[in-house]
Amino acid sequence: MNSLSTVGLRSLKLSLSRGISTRASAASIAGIESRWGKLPEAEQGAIADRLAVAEKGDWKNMSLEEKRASYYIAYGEHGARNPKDPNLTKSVMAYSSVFVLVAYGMYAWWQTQKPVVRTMTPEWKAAEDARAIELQQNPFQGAYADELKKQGK
Amino acid sequence: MALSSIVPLAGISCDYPLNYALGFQDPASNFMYAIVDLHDRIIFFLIILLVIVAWTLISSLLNSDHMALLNHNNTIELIWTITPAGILWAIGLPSLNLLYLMDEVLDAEITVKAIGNQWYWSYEYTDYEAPIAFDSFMIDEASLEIGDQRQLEVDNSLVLPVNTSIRILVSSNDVIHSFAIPSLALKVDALPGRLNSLGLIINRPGQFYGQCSELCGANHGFMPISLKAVTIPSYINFLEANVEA
Repeated sequence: MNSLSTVGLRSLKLSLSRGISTRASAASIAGIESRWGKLPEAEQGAIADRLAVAEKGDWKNMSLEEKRASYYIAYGEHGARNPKDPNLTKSVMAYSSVFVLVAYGMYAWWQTQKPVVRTMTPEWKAAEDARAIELQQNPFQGAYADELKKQGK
Repeated sequence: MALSSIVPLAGISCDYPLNYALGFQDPASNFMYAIVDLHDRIIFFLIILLVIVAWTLISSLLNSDHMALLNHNNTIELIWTITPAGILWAIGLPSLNLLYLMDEVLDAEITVKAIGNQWYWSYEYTDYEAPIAFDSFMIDEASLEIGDQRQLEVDNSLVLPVNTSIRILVSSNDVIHSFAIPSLALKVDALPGRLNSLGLIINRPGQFYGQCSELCGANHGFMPISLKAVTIPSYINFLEANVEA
C-alpha cells in the first residue's frame, strides 16, 4: 500500500509539474483559434481551467500548443475583443433610413388628407403681405421690412 | 358696427406673428426692446458654452486616446467652478434688473381693465364719467376677409394711445386666463378675484395681437387679444365716439 500510494503521489506530482498534457487535452486545444467560438461554454470553462492549472507550474513544461491556447484564451479575438463587424455601420444606416423614409411617407400622406385651410393659400398670404406693406405692418421683419430694405431704408 | 372701425386706419401698422418665425415679434414698447437686448446678452454666453461643450464632446468621440489625458488638476477645476458662477452673475444681474424695472407702473395716465371670460375678453375704460365697456370676440374663419389674420382678428379691439403711460388691470370672471401681447412684452395671468397690474408705454402706432396664455377650456385657443395703438387725437375721437354711442 505504501508503494502504491507513493507511486500515485509521484505520478500526480509529475503530471502537475509537466502540465496536464493528456491526449484528451491535446486534442481539445489543437487549433483552438478556429473552434473556440463554437465550443459550448462548459467545455470552454473546462479547457480554461485545465490550462490555468498548467500555467501555475513552470511554463517551460507547457507544450507549444498549450501556450498558444492559453494566449488565445486570454488575449484572442473573442468575447470583448471580437473585431467590429465591417458592415455594421452600413446596415444600421440602411435600416434607419428605411424606417425614416417610411415614417416620412406616412406623414406626407397624412398631410394630403387634411382639409386645406382657406387662410393658408398663397393668395391669402399674398393679400396679407400686401396689407402689411400698405399699413406698414411688422417694420423689422416681414413683408414691409423687405419693402423697406428694397427702398434702402 | 365694430367700435374699432370708428378709429381711422391710416398710418396704422399691425404686428402679427410670421409663418415659421424663430425670433421674437417686432417690439413696440421699450420693455420689449429691453427683453430682446437681454435675450441677446444671454445668447452670447450660451453660444460660447455651446461651442465649448460641443467641441469637448466631439473631440472625445473622435480621439480614442483622450482617456490617457484625463488627470486630476486643481487649477482647471477651480476655473470651471468659478467661471460658471461668473457667467450666472453676468446673466442674472441684468435679468433681475429688468424684471424689477418692468414691475413698476409709473404714474399711469390711463387705466384700462381687461377681464377674461370663457371665451372672450371684456375691456372697460372706467376713468371717464361715462365708462366704456365692450366685449371682444374672435372673428370666426368663415367671416374673415381676405388678408385677415386667422384666429387673431376680433370684432372690437382694445384701443389705446401711443407714448402714454397706461395701466392695464387684468382679472377674470370665471377661470384663470392670461393676457398676453408679445410685441409689447405683456403677459400676466387673469385670476378670478384678483387684480393684476401691467404697466405699458407703446412706442409706435399699430395693431398688436396676442392670445390667451392659460388653458381655460375648450376654446382657449380662440380668444385672441387685439390692441390698436393710435395717436392721442385718434384716441380722443374714439372716446368721444363711444360716449356718443
